[in-house]
Amino acid sequence: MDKQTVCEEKIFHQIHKDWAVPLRNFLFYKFGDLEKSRDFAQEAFVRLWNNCSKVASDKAKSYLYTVANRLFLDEVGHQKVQLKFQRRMQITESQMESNPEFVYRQQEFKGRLEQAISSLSEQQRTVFLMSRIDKMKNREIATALDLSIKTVEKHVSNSLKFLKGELEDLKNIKI
Amino acid sequence: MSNDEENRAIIQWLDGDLSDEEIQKVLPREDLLAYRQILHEVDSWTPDNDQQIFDVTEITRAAPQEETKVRKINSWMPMSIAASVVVLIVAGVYFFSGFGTTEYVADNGTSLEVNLPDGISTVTLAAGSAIQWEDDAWSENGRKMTIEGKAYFKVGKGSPFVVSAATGTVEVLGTEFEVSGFEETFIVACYEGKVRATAADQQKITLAAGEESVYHKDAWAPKRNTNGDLPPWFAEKLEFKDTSLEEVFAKLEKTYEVKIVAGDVNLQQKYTGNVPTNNLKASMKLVLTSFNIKYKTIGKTLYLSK
Repeated sequence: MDKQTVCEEKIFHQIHKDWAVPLRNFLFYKFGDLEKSRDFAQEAFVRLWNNCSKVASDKAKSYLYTVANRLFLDEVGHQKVQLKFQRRMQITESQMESNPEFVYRQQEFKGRLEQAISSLSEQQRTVFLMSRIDKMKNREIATALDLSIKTVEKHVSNSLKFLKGELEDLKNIKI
Repeated sequence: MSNDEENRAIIQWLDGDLSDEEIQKVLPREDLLAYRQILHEVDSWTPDNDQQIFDVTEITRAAPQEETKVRKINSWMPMSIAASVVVLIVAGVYFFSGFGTTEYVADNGTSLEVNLPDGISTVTLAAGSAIQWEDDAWSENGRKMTIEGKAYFKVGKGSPFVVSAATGTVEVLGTEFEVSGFEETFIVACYEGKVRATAADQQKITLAAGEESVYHKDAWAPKRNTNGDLPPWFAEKLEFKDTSLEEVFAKLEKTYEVKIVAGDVNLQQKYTGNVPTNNLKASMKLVLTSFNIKYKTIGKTLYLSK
């Protein structure tokens, strides 16, 4: 085999470092169970390691997403979800004290947005959140999920337009 | 500004290829503000603030191809499979091991689930059966393996999937399934998808989900219904972990539709282990031996005693 495989521990560690969290997140976007998402992601890496001699390093990412998706389908399947997120920067107590109304509105907006995102189709939602939260480029998402770039672009922009429509009535809330 | 152009601009802007100044020329200010409000919020999110959730050394501590790959089967989830087929092949010894060969054998008395190297397909071996493949026979061009005995395959979509045995060859292409080149009795059952089997003499048979047939004495027997039942050796198992005997017996009563009278047996004792769901005697033996409990059967009631 001429291509570099992922049996090299250094390469495997790097792939793990780069993709463990995005892979866990990807599963979370699909069904909202953080604990299980973590387990499936870990299992996908275990399988990658066990099959390392057959997977060229440039194919590792799509292998991981394919396996994770299969694990998800076999055990969980498509279902309605209600996603909840944390903020990277938590609201501080001083913010809370100095401007409680602002904090309240912000929380309301977050809740409504979570609801709207949860009502997107599974694929739209997953693609949109991979793009925004994991900061993946459309091309990266396309290879990971085996979709065309056009489909990914459509999902991201349509999701955004849909969300805007859903939140139309909050338009006058300034945050 | 046409809708198409606006769309194109939004897509580029979202992917970071168009600056805020540039998109302002294209989008109404109000829309842009609404979009930015949404994106600003979502961009600040994470499913979980703890990013140190994985320990990679847990994985790489063991050499590849060992441990985690093989696990005893406990449950069965027949979902989202491109084609799942049972191949029962009467086969003599076919294997020869060499460098770069992987082999799994299900010991007598237990079935074994093996994850195949493509990461999405699995095989479950009946007790006493074995599977083997050359490591370099798995690639984007094909998936090849050899079996001896009985095996149940769940095949994920992908490159051609070929199972060989001393008596013939079975090929799954997408949702199709082909058998060719064998001499002895050959049973093919299709549980999902569609399957085509071709005998050595080119006699073909097409089986839809829920159909099975036997090739015997130069002909395919009439199709029979599988009734959706998985093969008996594939039966589910009951899993117990530190479960009180009280609960274990309740489960067994329900599974086998019998009554268990405990007598003076201490029901608070804890049992850990897996028992079959299709063999009452074996189940009772598995549970009771470890506690030194005897039992006798009268009709549909089991009486226990110390």
